[in-house]
Amino acid sequence: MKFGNRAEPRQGAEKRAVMRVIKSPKYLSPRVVLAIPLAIAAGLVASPRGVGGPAPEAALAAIRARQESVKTLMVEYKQTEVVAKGAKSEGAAPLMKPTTIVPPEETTLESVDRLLIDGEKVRCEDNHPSWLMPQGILQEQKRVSVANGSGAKVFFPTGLGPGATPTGVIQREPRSLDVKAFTPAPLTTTFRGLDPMISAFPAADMKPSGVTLLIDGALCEEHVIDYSDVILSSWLDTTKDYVPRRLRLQRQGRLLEQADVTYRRHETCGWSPTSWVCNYYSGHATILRSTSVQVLDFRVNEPQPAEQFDIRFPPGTTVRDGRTLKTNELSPMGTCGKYLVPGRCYPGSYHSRAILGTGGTGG
Amino acid sequence: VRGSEGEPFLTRLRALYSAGGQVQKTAEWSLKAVIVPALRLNPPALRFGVRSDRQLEVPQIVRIEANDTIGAIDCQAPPGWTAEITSGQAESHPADFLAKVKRKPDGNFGLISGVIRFCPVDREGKRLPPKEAGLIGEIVRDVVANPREIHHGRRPCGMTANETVRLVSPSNRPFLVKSATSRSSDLQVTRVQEYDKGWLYTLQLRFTGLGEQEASAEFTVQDEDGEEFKLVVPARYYGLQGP
Repeated sequence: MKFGNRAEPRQGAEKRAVMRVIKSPKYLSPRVVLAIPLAIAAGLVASPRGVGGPAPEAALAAIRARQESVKTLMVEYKQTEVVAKGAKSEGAAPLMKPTTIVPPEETTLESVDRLLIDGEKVRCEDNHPSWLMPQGILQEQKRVSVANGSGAKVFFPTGLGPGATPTGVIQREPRSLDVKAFTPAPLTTTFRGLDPMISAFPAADMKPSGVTLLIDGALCEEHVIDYSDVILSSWLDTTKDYVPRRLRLQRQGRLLEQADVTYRRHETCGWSPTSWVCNYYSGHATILRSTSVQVLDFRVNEPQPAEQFDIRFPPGTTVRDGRTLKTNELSPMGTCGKYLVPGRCYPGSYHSRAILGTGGTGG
Repeated sequence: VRGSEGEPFLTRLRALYSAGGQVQKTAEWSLKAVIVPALRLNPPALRFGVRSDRQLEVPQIVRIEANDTIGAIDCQAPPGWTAEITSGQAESHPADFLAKVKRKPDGNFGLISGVIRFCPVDREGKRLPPKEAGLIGEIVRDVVANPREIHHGRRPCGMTANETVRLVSPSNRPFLVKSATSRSSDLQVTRVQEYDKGWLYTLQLRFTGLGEQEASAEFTVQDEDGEEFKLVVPARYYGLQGP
């Protein structure tokens, strides 16, 4: 089965959704939520340990120069994800375990998504279908998340399940978790490698392991962050201004996620990712999902309107405020109305899902 | 109550009773307290990640704060490990006690998931309920392959792919690779010497089978003490019908 969504235009993920069901059922795939920051948030890992000394000046200088040359970035990319039979049910956290095999057969999912960065501000438009667990229902889902330095919001224009109303989340912390997901990691690591709020592989925290390998014939240096249980590694291509050719996440010595990236030379920003493949493995080394990403549109240093980095939730949206732990429904005037669950700790299934995702395959 | 650490504690009890079939009456009691743990452990668990046996020759430290009623601590380590309790103050540590946890030289390799049990003993010699610290990680030989496994993902049959593997000593000790072989004709192992004098190998794998497949490179390693052991690097892929 192929199942996919199209990217949304800038301000609203409400429009232009196209869900395609194509051919015979094949694979399934969940949204890619990077386990590392979530594992850290869930207290699963200790603070990082350096392996060697600090990152070499040459690498840091190249990463800094690339970051400074890219003031704004807009990338539209297509994801094609193949999910193995049973991958979702195998990777589900205990409370989210379905009673059936999910997906029942190999399934292919497609979407076109967008990443926007302006300085430290980010906007992620994620249109990838997701699985409602533990029911095991594959659903079209749209998700827009923004962070602008002073606040962060997430908006689900079609809600969080079948027939649900639009849902918004105001996050407790002014940072986007979505931008640190594994799928866009080649982009964020390449162009915001020094910003730990954007890159899941922050260069300043990474230490050279002293190991070099040939990847596609290019000599690459391994830089790692060692959280004891979890090790993040980035293989920097010494022949291409230290861009990350390979990103890996290991837990207890087992590879769980790996992205291999190809680049082309861009006149403004030097080497830029053009495509990459992310593979996700179970703890038993079987492949659960494989995502191929192709960059469709790539624009650097074009002015970006500030309103793209904030979300005004439309009337009728159920808003969960992570700062006050309250859930409100916006009245038709767009102001907060009655409390649906007064005072209850209910920062949103968004957070719940993110944390649960650390135990398995993510989203 | 058990497990609370310095937390205010309040419980209310309500009794509902009737005497001689009369109207029901209630009586209430409340108990307020602050739970002060006998021991506080820092860190609460020792997660040492993946370490070689040589790297674990240095003991791991657990700092233990004990309240004033505690005079001693008994400690029980999992098999293959030792835990020695010393006075923290004597070594200028803020903790009341220090536990030095060390792997025995003949300890096992592989995944470790155990607990260290600390049993406080009060000044009158009475043993109090123990507190546990997790001991979690993996112990490997002092020569490892980087990467430990190769994953090619989904690949069409009929194609080949090259990946490189480097053998390293996590503790930077000298070693020798006496042989590098493969049991599968689909996998060729070749040493690369053009970049340095290290142990860098190319593993060229031909994709021939459908579904989950695996071939392994096997290295015979001799460490600086002359001990020989095998190091196996699996190369995996999921084979698809060729184009």
